[in-house]
Amino acid sequence: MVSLIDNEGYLRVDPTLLKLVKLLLLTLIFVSVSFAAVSSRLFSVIRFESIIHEFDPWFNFRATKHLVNTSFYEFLNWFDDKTWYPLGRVTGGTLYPGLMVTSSVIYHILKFVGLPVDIRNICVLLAPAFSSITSVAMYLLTLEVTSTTPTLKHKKTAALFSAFLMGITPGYISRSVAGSYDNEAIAITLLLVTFFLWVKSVNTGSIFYGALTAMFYFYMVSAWGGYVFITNIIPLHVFILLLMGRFDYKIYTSYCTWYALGTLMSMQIPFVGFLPIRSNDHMAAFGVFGLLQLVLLVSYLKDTLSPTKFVRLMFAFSAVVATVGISGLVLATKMGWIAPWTGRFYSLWDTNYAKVHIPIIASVSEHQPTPWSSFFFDLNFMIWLFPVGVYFCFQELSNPAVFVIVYSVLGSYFAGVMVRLMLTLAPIVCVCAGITLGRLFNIYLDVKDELSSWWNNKESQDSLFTLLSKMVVSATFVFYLVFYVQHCTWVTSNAYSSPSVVLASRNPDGSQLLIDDYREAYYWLRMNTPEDAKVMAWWDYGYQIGGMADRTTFVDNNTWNNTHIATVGRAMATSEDKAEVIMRQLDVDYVLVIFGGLIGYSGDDINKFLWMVRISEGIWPEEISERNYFTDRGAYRVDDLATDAMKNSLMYKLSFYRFGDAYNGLDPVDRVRQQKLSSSYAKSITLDVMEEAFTSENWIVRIYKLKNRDNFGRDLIDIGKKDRKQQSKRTKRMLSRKKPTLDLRV
Amino acid sequence: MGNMYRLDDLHKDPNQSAISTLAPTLLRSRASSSMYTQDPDMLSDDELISIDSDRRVDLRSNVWENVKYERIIDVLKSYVKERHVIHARNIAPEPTSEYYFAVPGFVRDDVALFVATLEVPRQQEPLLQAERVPELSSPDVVYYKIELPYPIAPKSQIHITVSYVLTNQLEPAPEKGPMGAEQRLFFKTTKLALSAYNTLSYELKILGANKPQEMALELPSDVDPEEFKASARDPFLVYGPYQKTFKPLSNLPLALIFTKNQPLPFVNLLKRDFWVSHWSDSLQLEEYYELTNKGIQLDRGFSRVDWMNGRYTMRPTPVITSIQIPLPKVETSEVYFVDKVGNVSTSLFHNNELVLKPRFPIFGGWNYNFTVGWTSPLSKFLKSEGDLHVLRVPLLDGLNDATYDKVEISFFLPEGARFVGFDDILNLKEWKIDHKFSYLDITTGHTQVTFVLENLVDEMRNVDILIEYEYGLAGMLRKPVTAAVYIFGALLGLLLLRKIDLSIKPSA
Amino acid sequence: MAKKDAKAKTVPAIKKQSGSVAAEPTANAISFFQELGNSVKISFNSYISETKDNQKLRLIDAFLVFLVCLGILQFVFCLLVGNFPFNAFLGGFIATVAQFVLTVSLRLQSLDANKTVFKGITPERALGDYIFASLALHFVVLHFIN
Repeated sequence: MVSLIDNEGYLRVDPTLLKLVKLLLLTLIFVSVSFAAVSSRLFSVIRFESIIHEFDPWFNFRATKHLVNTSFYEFLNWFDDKTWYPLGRVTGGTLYPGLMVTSSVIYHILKFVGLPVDIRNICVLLAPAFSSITSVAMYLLTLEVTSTTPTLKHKKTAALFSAFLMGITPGYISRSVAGSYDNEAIAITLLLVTFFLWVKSVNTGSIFYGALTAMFYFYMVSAWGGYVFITNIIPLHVFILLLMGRFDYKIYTSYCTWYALGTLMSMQIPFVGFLPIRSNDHMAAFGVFGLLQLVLLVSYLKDTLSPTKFVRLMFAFSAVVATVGISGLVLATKMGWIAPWTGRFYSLWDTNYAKVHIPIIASVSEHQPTPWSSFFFDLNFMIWLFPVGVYFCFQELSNPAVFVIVYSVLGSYFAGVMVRLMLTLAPIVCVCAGITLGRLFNIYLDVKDELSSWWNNKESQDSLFTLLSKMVVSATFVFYLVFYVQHCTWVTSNAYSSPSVVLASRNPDGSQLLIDDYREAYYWLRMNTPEDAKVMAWWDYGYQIGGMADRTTFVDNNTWNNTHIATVGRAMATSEDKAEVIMRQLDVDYVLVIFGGLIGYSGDDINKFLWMVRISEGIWPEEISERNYFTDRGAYRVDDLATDAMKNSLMYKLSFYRFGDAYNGLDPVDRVRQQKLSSSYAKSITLDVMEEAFTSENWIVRIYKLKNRDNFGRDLIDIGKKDRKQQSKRTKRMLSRKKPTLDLRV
Repeated sequence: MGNMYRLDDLHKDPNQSAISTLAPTLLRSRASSSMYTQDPDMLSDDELISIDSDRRVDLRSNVWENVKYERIIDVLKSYVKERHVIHARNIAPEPTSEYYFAVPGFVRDDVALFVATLEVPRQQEPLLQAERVPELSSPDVVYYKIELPYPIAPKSQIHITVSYVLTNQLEPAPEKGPMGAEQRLFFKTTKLALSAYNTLSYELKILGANKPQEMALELPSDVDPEEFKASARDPFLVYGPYQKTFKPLSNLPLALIFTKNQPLPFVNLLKRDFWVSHWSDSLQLEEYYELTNKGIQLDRGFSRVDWMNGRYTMRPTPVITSIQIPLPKVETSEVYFVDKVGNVSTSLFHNNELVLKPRFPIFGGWNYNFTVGWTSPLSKFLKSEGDLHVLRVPLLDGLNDATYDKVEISFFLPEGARFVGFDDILNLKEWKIDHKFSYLDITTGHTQVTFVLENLVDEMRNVDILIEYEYGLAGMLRKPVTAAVYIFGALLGLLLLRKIDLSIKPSA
Repeated sequence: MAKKDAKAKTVPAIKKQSGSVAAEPTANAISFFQELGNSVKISFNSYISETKDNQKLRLIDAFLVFLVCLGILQFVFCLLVGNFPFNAFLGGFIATVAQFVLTVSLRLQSLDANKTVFKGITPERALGDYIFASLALHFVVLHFIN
């Protein structure tokens, strides 16, 4: 650019060459953005290995493997009897197949072209691959949004900035690092493509783009439950445009095409089924669809009738429509034709709703309200560019700009309610920040006038100062951008790249130490238990046990049956004798608990224990009460001062069984709760119906086997008590007898 | 070298497909169920001692006479090695060139390796042809016919050494015990030489039986139990020498329990995949193990505290805590150790040996499946003559002191290679040719040759396996050329597609 | 079969009553205000005069009317007989609604008066888009009904 200005008026560059250079630059920018996006997501692969992360991805991975090994129809009819024992799960009908189908299609294509890549590697690398597509989609979306902005001289700058920002924003990376094989990995890409096509179709009014929007909407529906966001934001956009009096035929064409095709298509997904016409979540879209028909009619009549007649007609008309519509909706809800809003939906409006009514939703950490710091953490300096971008949109207020505003408002609200929904906010923040930066650099990097005046020796203080101030502003923002890159890299490498299956820690000498207890225990289960063994664990670990240990589980992260989860929680929370009855009923073979007390791993079951109590209290309030697990002073203790309910609970016993022995007679310390147990008390923690089967190296995973019933029909607990009595007598005798010999040796 | 099985010979018979089962060198008839149960209580006398006397006629037991018979049983490893040193004299009136060797019937399925050598002065011990004679075998005795290189004149003596390896002979007794308990192994054999001929002098030595304890078995009434008592002569446990005539097939059972605080690694299945690449001059080996410890099992669950407190980790235990895999002498790279849930980060090199630490200690009865692999330069294993290549790789690489139940060795020859033949392979069960699509295979895929072997032990590591194949310049060029053609076609197609005008315009 | 019969019977009847789609939902309102009838008449007349020389538009409108009737018929059928294969009913009904909407869009795009609104969309392009969307629609419906 600079060199061109230097030779202004003298040098003419061939336009085709210029075009080629532009294209080359554009390609280069995209390649580098993609490279940055992909490579920053590979931290986990480099630091650990190519492994599936977290919890849900393990299920997706398992389902993908099932899909690759069987046919698509078998997959859709998949009944999984290895989970939710003894109920089983209609897996094919209760999942969003988009992700699995995508990776299996990629798998088969690669195989066809002679690259039989392992399905695991495809799953691991799917999210980074899609993230680079996301930045392209982001570019297109921003370009479309700004296409009507008259003040933006170089249209592509804003779009390129937003693509770059999107590529590495931690808010998006958090869900799309390599190995995080979750629905969101492709859903965000689809979300952006759908929005791009929507804005495009609003801009052109083309049926073609409307139909394309519907198709990508369908893809989105097949991939993520968050499609409801699109289902509501597009009608809202249209509705607001209507209120602003912006109705035109383009909106009618695009919206109606999208709605009619999209609804029909979305009903093809078995899990969604008839929801689009039954559930209230989808009614807004339907309402706007009906409204548009009326508005079209009205606008037609308006053209042909005289104003007074039109107004009268209008009144009669709207009265009839409103009464019929509202009464119809109420009636349908009452009659049960339309499902009322679901609990998750309520929890979006009232953050305390879940805590009170559905503990199972509240127990998930990512359903918690977002803390303020995480906004900055995930979005960095975009957090203050975002309002500026929204302001620019208000200034312009074109149809796409209204869309951006609607999205910003909704996105910010939802991101504030749930940590997880930060993901949906990130794209629009990037759009706004991109617009802001684009406009800013458009003005402040445009030093053509100043330079030319300076070049032409028109010595003027004015132009020099403008030049200087422009340089300063640009330099500041360049600094911010550099800082942004650094921040993103730092956040990604430190916060979001841990597979959580493998934990990283440091040796005293500073070298890296991998704590691989999860896999150790899961692999032990897989190798050394009968293939039909049923493992009871808290639902967090259900998918991992299914994926890595390949054993039958009772509850998992699907959480479709609250009662079943509560039953497991009840078995964990009650005393050993009552738990035995429950476990025998459930046909449990092994129980798996996570215990971090020895090495200080805070995500363990004792810390999650209160949720188990709460969830089971919801169903058996007379048997389990949360209060009993707190001391009189309201403290949550696990040491000698713990309440009886706590000490007797199965979970407590399984966690601390023989904990004292690990300290060689010293008082054992629970390093997570920072509480010291006395060694004599720690010794008194006994188990009668369970037998330790395996404990991992750092005690994080402990597996117990439910003992077989006594051959003589005796109660296992009684036997245990008798044994202990005899043993204490014997040890006393042995001690008294042994002492002299020990003395002699010394 | 033995005879090469040529692929061409197979194809002469139109009825025979390339996938065929060849008779392995050591014929081992698989009885549907073993007659022999390891439970000491179930030992019955007649099972061990009853000898079919009619057989003597068939064997012409009056042909040979064992002048001196020395037998050494080695139980130092997780399997049993026996060595019989026989001085035999021809007592028949005419020259003879066959010697029949008898093996107890209850080990018929466990003979992993059978080698007979003839000791001739001033000559290297030549390997003798030996093969099982199914017609002569009874449930109690299995006969091997040893072919001598030349007929032996009457009255003259020969000196034969017969060695064989028996797998699946050692069993922990008791089967279960607490963590840290001493592992006692139960082992059953015959106390006398089970020979088809008269034996004049006999001695049995057992090596490696620590703290031995002989189980009292009911003996026939005419045997004096005191006569056949063992004496310890470090490091051996010795029976005899007995200077008296033993009739053919005379026998006494011997059940021995001894201490051995070492694991009994048993590989149920080993898959060895060799990927041959001429382009990058590399031979990639990937081994998949299904490992079990056949040692003493835990009577209760595994207690981490007891294990952690270090009471059992310092001295030898019957627990597999690490797996040593000696790497080939040539340089190796890209070594990896994974299992079904991902990478196992605890592995290290030590003296050209790969020391793997499994995720958990492998107690008796526990399993651990894992995969290791490495890459070596192909040229170190390959001898080429024009387009003809001979690949020579070791039969086994890994795991000291292990028994292998089933081994599948696969060679993935480059796309376009033609498999020619292979040399004799020990304990070969079957072999087949297949095709396998791998990276950038477009036309036919890698030529895959698979050999299925059974009942091997780690000592067969020294044995090599040889295959011959044809792979020329044309084959080497085939892949890049086809790939180029495909890519060119795709680009051409793209260009053509771009030429097609799909835009809708008013038809003027 | 039933659908074809319905078409034969109903289309002419309704055409006589009100040629425009617009008039149909307002049928209730007529009884309330005498004037409304008047307005409808005016709009109907203007419609007739507008489309006098455009046979293509008339064709589209006839199709629209047919679709409306078909939709109503399906709905009534569903109310009377029951909605047992719900997806079949839904598929059929939504297909009519969607086709209706698409056709209206086509009609809007092909009007000369709307040229300025739909920049870059020629009537030919509109028809192409329409065919594309309809194909997609019917493919999905077929799949839905099985």
